[in-house]
Amino acid sequence: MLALRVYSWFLVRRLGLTLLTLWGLATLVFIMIKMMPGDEAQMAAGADASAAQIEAVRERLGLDAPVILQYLGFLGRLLRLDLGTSIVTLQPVLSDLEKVLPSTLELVFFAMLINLAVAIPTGIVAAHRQGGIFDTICRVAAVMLGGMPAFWLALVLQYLLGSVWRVVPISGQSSFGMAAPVVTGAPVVDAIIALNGPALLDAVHHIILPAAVLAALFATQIFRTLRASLLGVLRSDFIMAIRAKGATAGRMLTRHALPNSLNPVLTLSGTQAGAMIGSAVLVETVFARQGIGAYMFNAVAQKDTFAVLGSVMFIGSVVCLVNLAVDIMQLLVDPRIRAAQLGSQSQ
Amino acid sequence: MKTNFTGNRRGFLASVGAISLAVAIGLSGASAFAADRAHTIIVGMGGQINTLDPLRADYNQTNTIISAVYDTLVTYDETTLVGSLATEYSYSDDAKSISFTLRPDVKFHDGTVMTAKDVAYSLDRLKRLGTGVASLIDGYESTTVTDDTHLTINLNKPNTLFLPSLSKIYIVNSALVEANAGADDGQGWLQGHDAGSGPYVLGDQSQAVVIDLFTDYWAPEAGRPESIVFRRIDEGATRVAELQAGNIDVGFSIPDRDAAGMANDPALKVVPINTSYQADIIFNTQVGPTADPKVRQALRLVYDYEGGLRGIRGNNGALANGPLPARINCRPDLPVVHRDLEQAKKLLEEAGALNTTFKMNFQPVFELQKQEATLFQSNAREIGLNVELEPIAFPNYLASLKDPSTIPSMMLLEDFAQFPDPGIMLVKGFKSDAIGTNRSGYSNPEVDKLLDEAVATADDAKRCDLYKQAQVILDKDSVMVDMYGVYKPAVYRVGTLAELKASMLATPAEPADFRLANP
Repeated sequence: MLALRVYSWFLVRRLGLTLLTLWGLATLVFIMIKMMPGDEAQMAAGADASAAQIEAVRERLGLDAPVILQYLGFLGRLLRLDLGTSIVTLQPVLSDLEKVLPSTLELVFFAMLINLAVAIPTGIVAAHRQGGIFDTICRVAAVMLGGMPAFWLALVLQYLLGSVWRVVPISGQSSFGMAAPVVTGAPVVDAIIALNGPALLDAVHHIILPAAVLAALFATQIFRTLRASLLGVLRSDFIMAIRAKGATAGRMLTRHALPNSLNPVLTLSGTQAGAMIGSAVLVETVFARQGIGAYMFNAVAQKDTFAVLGSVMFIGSVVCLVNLAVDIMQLLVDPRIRAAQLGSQSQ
Repeated sequence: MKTNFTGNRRGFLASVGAISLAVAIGLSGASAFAADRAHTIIVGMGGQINTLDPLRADYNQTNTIISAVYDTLVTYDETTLVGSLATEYSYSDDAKSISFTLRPDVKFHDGTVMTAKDVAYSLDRLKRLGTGVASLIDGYESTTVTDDTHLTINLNKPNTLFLPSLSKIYIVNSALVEANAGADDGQGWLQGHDAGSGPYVLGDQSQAVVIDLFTDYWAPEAGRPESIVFRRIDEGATRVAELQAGNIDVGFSIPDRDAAGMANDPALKVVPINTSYQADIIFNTQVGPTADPKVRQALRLVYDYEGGLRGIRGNNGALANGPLPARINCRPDLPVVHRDLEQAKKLLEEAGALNTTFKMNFQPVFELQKQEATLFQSNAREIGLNVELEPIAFPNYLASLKDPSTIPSMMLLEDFAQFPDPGIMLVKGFKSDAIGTNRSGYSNPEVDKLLDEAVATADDAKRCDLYKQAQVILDKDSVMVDMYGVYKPAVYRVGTLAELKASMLATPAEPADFRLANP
C-alpha cells in the first residue's frame, strides 16, 4: 500500500515537473522568437506588400496586441491543445505537424533501432576483450564517427552507396509509383497497413541509409557509455563470484554484467530520442525526406511564430515523455533506484 | 516449473517468416500514384511549397506549380504582354479603368464555365485578404460585370502598372472556392485543392506534388507531359546526384559549379536560364556615409566586376548596365561600369571619406553572395578602404526598410521582377513614397514626377521614354552597384524534354511550357 502511494506520488511529481518544463520551454521559445529580428506581419503579407497592407495583416493576425497578451493567448490555446495557426500556410500548426511528424518519427525509430542494434553488441564485445584488436578498432572508429559532421557523413555515404555503387536510393522516401496510399504519413507503416510488399521493401530500402547516418553519431555515445559501464561492472566482486561458480563468459556477460550496466544506456537513449528528432533536419535535407526538421527550418526562416512554437513544443513534449518513460522503466528494472526512491519517499 | 518454449518459438518464427514472405511477394500492388513514367516528367526543386493558393504566387515554389494549374487574364510572351483568358483589353482614356473581353470557352477543372463573375471574385478576394500578390493590385477598387464575357476593372487612380500585374493574378473558380471558403476565405482549402482552369489539374500530393494533364483545356498543345511530379530536394548536391542517376528528369536551381561540371555529360543538357535576376549592392541614399552621391559613385568603381562574374558566377551572367535587368524593356543605353581604383580614391578624397569604415550586409544563406561580399571587401582594401561585412537574415532586412535610418548602408542581394515590366521595379524600388520596398530610401522629386507621369499615361511609347529618363537619373545618382545579370542554371536529361524554355513569370521555367522529347 505504501509502495503504491509512493509510486503514485513519484508519478505525480514527475508529471508536474514535465508540465513545468514544457511551460518553461514555451516561454523561452516565445521570448526568443519575439526577440528575433524581422516583422511577422511583413513576412505574412509578402516582401512587396505596402505599409498599409502590412498593418492590415498585423491587425487580422492579432499581432498588433501587446506581446504579453499574445503570450497569454498562446498559453491559453496551448491548454486547449491548440498550437495556433501558421502565418505562412494559414493552417493549424497541429495539422501541419500531423503531416510531417510521422515521417520523422519513423526515421528516428529506425535510427534508434540501428543505433542500439550496433552499439550494444559492439560495446559488450569491446568491453569483454578490453585492450584487444576489436576493442581498439571500435574505439578508434567511435572517435572518428563521433567527430564527423552529420552533413558531411551523409553526403559522402550518399555519394558512395547511392551514386557510385547504387546499393541504396540516393534520396526520397519511395521510388516512382511505388508508394502505398498515405494513411499515417510514415511510408513503412503505410506500406504495412496496405499489405503492399513491394512498397514496404521500397520504403525500407529508402530509409536504411538516412537512418544509419542519423544513428552513426549516436551509436558512438551508446558504445562508449556501455563499454565504460560494463568495464566497471566486470571488475565488481559479484562478477568474480559468478566466474568462480563456473558461469560461461556469455552467460556472465548477458545475464549478470549487462543488466547491471544498462542504466546509463537507458538514460542516454532516452535523451538521444529527442536529440535525434532535432538532428533529423540535416539528414532530411540531404536525403530529401519530408519531416519536422525541414518544416521547422522553414518556419524559423520565415519567422512563422506559431509554427516554430508548435514544433518546439511538440518535440519538447516527445523528449519529456520519453524521459518520463525512461525514469519509470528504470524504477521498474533497477532495484537500487527503486530502493532509493522508496527510501527517500518513506522517510 | 520449467517450460520448454522451443516448439512455440519455432512456430512463431515460422509464422513471422510466412507473413514476411507474403508481404514481400505483395498481397497488393496498390500505389497512390500510378502514372506512365515515359510520359511523366519528374522535377527536382528546392524550397518548401507552403501552399498552392494562388494568393501566394509571390512564393516562387508556389507560383511555379500553380502557373500550370491556373490561368491569368493576361500573360507574357517573352517580354510582350498578351491576352490569355482575355481576348481583348483596353484602358479608359484616364487610365482609371480597364475593359476586358473574355474567352467564352474556358472551363474550370470541375467542368464549370469560367465567366466574368469568377474574375471579379478572384480580385475581390485578393483585396479582402491583402497578402501575397495582393500587393500587386494596390489601387484596385471594384469590378463591374457587364455579362459573362465582359467586365471592367475600376481603379482608385490612374495606374498603367495594373494591367501587367494581372499576369500574376490567377483566376479561381468562384463557386468552388465560395463553397469551401470556411473562416479564412478559402485559404486553408486552396492550400491543397484545385480551383483552376489551367492545362494541369492538381493530382496526388502525398509524397510529392503531382499535376496531371487537363484534357478539356481551352488551349491544348501536343507534347505536354501527362503528369509532372515536383520533388522537393533542398540539397543541391542531391539534386545533381538524382539527375545523374536518372531518377529526376529536370533539376531547377543547380549550383553554378555543378552546372559547369555537368556541361560535358552527354546525357544532360545544361540551360543557363536568363530571366530578370540581377545582383546589386544597394546603398542607403539617405543616411550615413553613402548618402553622399560622390561616395556612392566611388564605391561603384571599386568592385572587380569581370573577376566576380568569372570567378564566382562561372560566367553565368552578363555585366549589368543600369538599375534594371537586361531582359526588361524600356532601358536606356547606359555604359557598363568598370573598376577604376584611382578614380575611386580621388572621389573618396574629395568627399573626405577615405578613412571611413563602411558596412555591407549580405545574406549568408547564399554562398555566392558571401563570396561577392568578400571580394568587394578585398577590392576596397586595395585603396585602404575598410569595409565590414555583416550577415543579415531576409526578414530582418525587410523590417529595416521601414525607416531610412535603419536601412543598411550597403546591402548585397539579387533582385528580380515579378513580371517583366520596368514600372514595377522602378515604382516599388525607387519612388519616395514606396516605404518598405524602396530599398535605398531614395527620394528624388524629379524621379517621382517621371514615374507618376509614366504610371498615369496609357501611351506605351511615352511611358517607355519616361521610364528611361528615370533610369538615367538613377544611374547618375549611383543608387546602387549594378553588378551583373545572373543566369540560373537548370538541367534536364536529354531525351526527356524537347527543350527547357525560360519564363519571365516563373523562375526558372513554367511547367506548362514543358514538351516531351518523345511524345
